[in-house]
Amino acid sequence: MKRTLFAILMVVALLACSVPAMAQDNVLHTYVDRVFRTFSQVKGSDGHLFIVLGSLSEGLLRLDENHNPQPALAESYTVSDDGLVYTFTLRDGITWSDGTPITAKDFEFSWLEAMSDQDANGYADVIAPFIKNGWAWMNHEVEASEVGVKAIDDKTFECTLENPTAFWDRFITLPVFFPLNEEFYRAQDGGELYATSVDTIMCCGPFVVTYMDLGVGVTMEKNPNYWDAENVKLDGVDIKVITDSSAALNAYEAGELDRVNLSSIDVVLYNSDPEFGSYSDFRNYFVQFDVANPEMNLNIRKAINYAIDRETLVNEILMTGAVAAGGVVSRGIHGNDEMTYRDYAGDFSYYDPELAKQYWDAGVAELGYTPEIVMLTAEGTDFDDMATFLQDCFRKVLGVEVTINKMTQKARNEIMKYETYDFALNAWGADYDDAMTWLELWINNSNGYRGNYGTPEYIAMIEDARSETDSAVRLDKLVAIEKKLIDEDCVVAGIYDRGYSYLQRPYVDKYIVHPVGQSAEFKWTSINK
Amino acid sequence: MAKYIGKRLIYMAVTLFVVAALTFTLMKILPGSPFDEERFLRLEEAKQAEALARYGLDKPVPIQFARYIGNMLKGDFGISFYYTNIPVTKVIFSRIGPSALIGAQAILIGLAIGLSLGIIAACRHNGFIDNFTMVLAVLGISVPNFVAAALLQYYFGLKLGWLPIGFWKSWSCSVLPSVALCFSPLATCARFIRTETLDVLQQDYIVTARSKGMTQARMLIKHTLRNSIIPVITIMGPMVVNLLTGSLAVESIFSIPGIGGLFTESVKNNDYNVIMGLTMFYSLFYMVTILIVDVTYGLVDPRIHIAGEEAAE
Repeated sequence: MKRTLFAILMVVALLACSVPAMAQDNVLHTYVDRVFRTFSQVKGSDGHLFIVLGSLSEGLLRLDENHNPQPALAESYTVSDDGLVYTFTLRDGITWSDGTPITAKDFEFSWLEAMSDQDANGYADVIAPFIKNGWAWMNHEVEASEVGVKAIDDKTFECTLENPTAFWDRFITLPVFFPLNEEFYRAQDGGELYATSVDTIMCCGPFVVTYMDLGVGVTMEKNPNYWDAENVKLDGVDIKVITDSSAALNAYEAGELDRVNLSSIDVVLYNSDPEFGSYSDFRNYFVQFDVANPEMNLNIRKAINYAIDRETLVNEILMTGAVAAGGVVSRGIHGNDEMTYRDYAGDFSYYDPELAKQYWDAGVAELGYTPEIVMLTAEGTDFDDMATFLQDCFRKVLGVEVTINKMTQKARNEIMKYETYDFALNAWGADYDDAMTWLELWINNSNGYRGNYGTPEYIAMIEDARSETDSAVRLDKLVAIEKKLIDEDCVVAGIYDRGYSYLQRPYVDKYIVHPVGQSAEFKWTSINK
Repeated sequence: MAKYIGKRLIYMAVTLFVVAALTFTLMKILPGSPFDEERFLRLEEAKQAEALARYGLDKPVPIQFARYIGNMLKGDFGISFYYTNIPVTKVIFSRIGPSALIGAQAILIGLAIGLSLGIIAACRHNGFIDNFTMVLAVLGISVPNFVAAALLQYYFGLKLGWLPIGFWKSWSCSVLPSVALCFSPLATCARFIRTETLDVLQQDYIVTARSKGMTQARMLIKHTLRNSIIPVITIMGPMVVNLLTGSLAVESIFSIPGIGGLFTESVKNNDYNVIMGLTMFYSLFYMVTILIVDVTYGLVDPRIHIAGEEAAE
């Protein structure tokens, strides 16, 4: 009995011990939840890599805290009347971390190199279609001199686009558009070893790297040679790799991190904490129908679109700050100067149980029998919680039992590509702040991964919107495309936009998060203890 | 002896080849490709072929295999897809250090405590220490290491702040993960050595030694331990391989850049060269450990002849 009492007392004593305070410094401690695949701007396309590169380097423009592009290495730029030619003037006296001057040549080389990357991991296929002859250069069909990127002189960089691109100034804030010093880059085994260690990377951003390891993380210190060094408040940034979410929370509680993302389970415990906050970004989760499947007729597809109770899903199941989608384009996406795309377009995907039931009955009558529906989903918590919730929705609203078929992502992709399926849960994160980043996904009619849709009419609508120069008319065209995709043909049904809930120390100021591209920005961050 | 080891090495080479062939075949049956499907589909055919050729995936599987074996014999294990363009040997060796250190420490702690507890338990059969050891052994076997890891991290890292809660900055970071991993070898060792020691203590020669007035300590070390340690050596082989090659859960909880997660990640991402590299590494390591265990038998117990011809003498 005495022993038991002693043991209980020991446990209580352990619990009562306080958390030790951590060392005071002017360094931001944060983390990413996945290992890095590379540190090279040419070979990488991951959001967490962009956080690192955006701190170590810089492009012509940089997004401010309202996600608007501001002059960075370029002090100004002009756009031709047809919206095709951008001419950037670089700042005076900008240098690499070793003192070498940054010239327009560094941009010309970097952009060409990015488009010719052979690893199929980078952003080559994303950026090449925008730049004049970029796609042809990627496929080795033209000379470098024919591509629309040109260093006019040391300080003037000109780029010519295939089509007028409304979001080009936001787009080129991505790390793939950062400059590269050709001589230095080539010296690293022709670029193969570029950014594989601290000695093989050159920095020109607010910070310079002092340590980097794909599995451990990155530490960096303030770059004294940065053109805007006076506005960089931090002495350094420490980015760790922590893949386990509860380990990250423990690290935050132990004072090793200044900010931590919360999982759904932890949100309940912390959502009244003054350090709590949440936001959503531009990654849309949606239902992908296989339109080549005769069992999934238009009425059945529409029934499923209207049967999903999105508000309950985001507020009671996910709880991490996700927002109910109104379609396949995320809510915050830029529309015009007055309102977002979604506010302008209205919702195409929403919950209406009666409408859903009507369409379902019509669809079943058309088939002559009740179809057995299988929902394809990939492993991963994002999809897991959603799949069982959707199953429940369909049971309640449509009175149908949908089977969940869960497999690895690669295996699911194979089925979508080569077999007929009913529908699959899928997601797509924006590459840039414009509706087109989603809408153009469905232009290939033999792509099972996109439901074998891509009708000539749809392709024509996309082509038409691409070459439209008037931004107001273009916006209307984009809305018409999404209406066609969801409201008329019901190829997809939007579910939600990804959200994050987090805890952040009260002394951290301006930890800026962007919903697309470089997801966190530390240039203006400060620690005010 | 040399002849015996030589023969074993030849068997090992054959086994490795079979393992390589099997893994290669199974790996190619995995659905999907190492590329990001969505991005890959956007490329034109010539560009797709270029990317495939870059990684040697444009040839039929048997030729790919022959090439792989050829390159492997030259010491070239190819490059990783997932860790873009980094040589597989570099990927593996940059991750093996932390796992090996933690694993080795866990085995040392486990062996030291497990053996001591087991022997004491046998000597005090049915006493308090014996019961305590058996409860510990059951717990050690049945509580998964990630539960132990999470508890250790929470109490000793977060609440008490005695040790780092994770990361890989100094040696102190390796203590908690090592402790988390040591329970299983500790429990296994304690159980085996206890049972064996109990058995040996019943033997006639122990009774003889006792009746001759030999001290308890001398008897334990000279007669008992050497006889009872054989089964522990047997289980040590797989245990060492298991621990030194990393634990996915424990490494993830303590944010340690170890090799445990690498294998599952490589399979998930169809990172062919890393799968092959790791399989070869694991197999070779396992076979070498088994060989060492077999040779150790002979050293510990002269009655065991590992080579057939020696037994005939």
